Amino acid sequence: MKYWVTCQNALLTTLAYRGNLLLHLLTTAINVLVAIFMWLAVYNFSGRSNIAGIQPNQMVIYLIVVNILALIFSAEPIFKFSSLVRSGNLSVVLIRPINYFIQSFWDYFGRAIPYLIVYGLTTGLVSPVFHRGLRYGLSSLLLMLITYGMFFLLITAISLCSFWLVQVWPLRPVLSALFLLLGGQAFPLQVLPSAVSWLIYNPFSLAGNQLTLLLLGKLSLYQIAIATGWAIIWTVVALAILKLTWQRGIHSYEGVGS
Amino acid sequence: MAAPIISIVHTDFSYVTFTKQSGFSGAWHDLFHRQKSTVAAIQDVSLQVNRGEILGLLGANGAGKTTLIKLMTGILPANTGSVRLFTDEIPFRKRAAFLQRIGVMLSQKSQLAWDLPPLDTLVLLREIYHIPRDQFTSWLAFLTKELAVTPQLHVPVRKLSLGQRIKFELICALIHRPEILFLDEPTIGIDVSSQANIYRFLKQLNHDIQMTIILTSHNTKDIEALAQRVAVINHGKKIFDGTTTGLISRYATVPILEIVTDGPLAPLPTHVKQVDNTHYEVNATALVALPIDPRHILSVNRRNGSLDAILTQLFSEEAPKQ
Repeated sequence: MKYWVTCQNALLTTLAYRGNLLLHLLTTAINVLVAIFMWLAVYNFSGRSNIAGIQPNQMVIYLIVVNILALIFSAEPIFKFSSLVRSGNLSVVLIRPINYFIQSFWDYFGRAIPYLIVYGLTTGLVSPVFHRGLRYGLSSLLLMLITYGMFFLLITAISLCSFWLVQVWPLRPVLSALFLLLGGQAFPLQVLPSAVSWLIYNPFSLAGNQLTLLLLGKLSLYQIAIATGWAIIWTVVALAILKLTWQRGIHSYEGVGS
Repeated sequence: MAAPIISIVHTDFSYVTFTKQSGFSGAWHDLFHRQKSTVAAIQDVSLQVNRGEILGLLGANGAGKTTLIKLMTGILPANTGSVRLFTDEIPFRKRAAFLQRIGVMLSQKSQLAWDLPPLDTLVLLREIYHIPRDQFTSWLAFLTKELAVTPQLHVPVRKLSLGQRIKFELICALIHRPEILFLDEPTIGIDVSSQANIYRFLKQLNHDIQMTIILTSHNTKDIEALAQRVAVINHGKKIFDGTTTGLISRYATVPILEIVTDGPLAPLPTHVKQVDNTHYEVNATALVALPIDPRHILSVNRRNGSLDAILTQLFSEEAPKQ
């Protein structure tokens, strides 16, 4: 229940700044439009009706969905945790009888709810995922849930570098670039040469490229199983990093600023 | 005799910091050769607090008061020595059962969600501390009434005044009725009447439910009004542990009395030194009575006889070289 209240408060905080929320949605929409126009121009000038097996209309849908996912899979916990350490406000968290990571997860989820509702639900309803039988639907849902948890844990593991780095803002453009390039936000990773096809199982791609293909009905059950396996591997890696670094970090924490 | 509720034995805590020369050359040098140094924030401090006591921690800025509170609340680990609460709890382990029994208010750190009304944070705390709803409602009504912030329960925190925020921080620390309450600068930004209200309220809590209170403050009024015992921390070391009057009598030096009269004294009595027309100083070391007619005295103060004066003297002493 306490974590559900955390989730509620995170949602209320997001809704408190209605202007910011709308602006965020608007700027994302503009970014998506720019990417769409760019790709339509590529199709037009190349004179090809498909690139790497993807047709123009499929590319449009791909770009919309992958950008929605980029909103949901945000790297914000890194900067939030960094702010807690830098300001010493982590002390307030440490004196509460709660598990910081579980609370942080529900906060992460709560902040994403408007995007999940506005875009995610709509996409989910029109996606063919849930019209291909129970087994396919459940496998897809499992992949989505594991990927969501995996991405949160990975971002949280990265956030622990805040114990040693005073400023983590240089990570922001790096993470954006990683999601753009490795996550398939700028282009589907399927257009890359087959020699680097293994890139589709990096955590950013699982959250962006693979989930987009799933929602577009482009993944077979076998591919879903492989993606789920990789998501589990990355989850274990993230958990190991968390376990190793949290104890060290908390010992080096000084609770600055009185 | 009951075991102390807080027991700190020969505890040290130090942290690493670094220094940097100013300017471009300093930044360049710092890039490759960072000058690190270890600061001993707490040195060989031992302290015992009994259940139901109100202890005031006094010290200048950077003396180590807040660090001591962080050690007691488990935010920081002790380097050496031991810190135990409730007989056998090691605070740094942060066991939920231990955290459930302490309440902490850190002046510069907020528990309140900035964009939401205080009630939302308090409801979250209700769930975190597993407080039954009816108990939460009645206790919250009591706290907000006592601190005169009931109308502000539904106002977003960012719209509250500093004083109102501090009061809600105090409510957050008290909402689960902790056995030990740690207060770091609890009256910053609070007006005089609210301060008095808080003093009365905390004394009442201490009396009614035997809540142990550990308090740090730069405002000696807080300490004088609340603390039954004080510990003075200077440069990380405990230099005094006792009552406020004990502190004054220990550190008050030559008894110089500063006297203000209603007019000039003529002739000037012996042992009396004139400062200006109506201000006089009397060295009372060898006197048994005042050498001035009491009918002309407006006020008498003993120099170096107030807590403020004693602390000013103590805190101005230089830190020992490390």
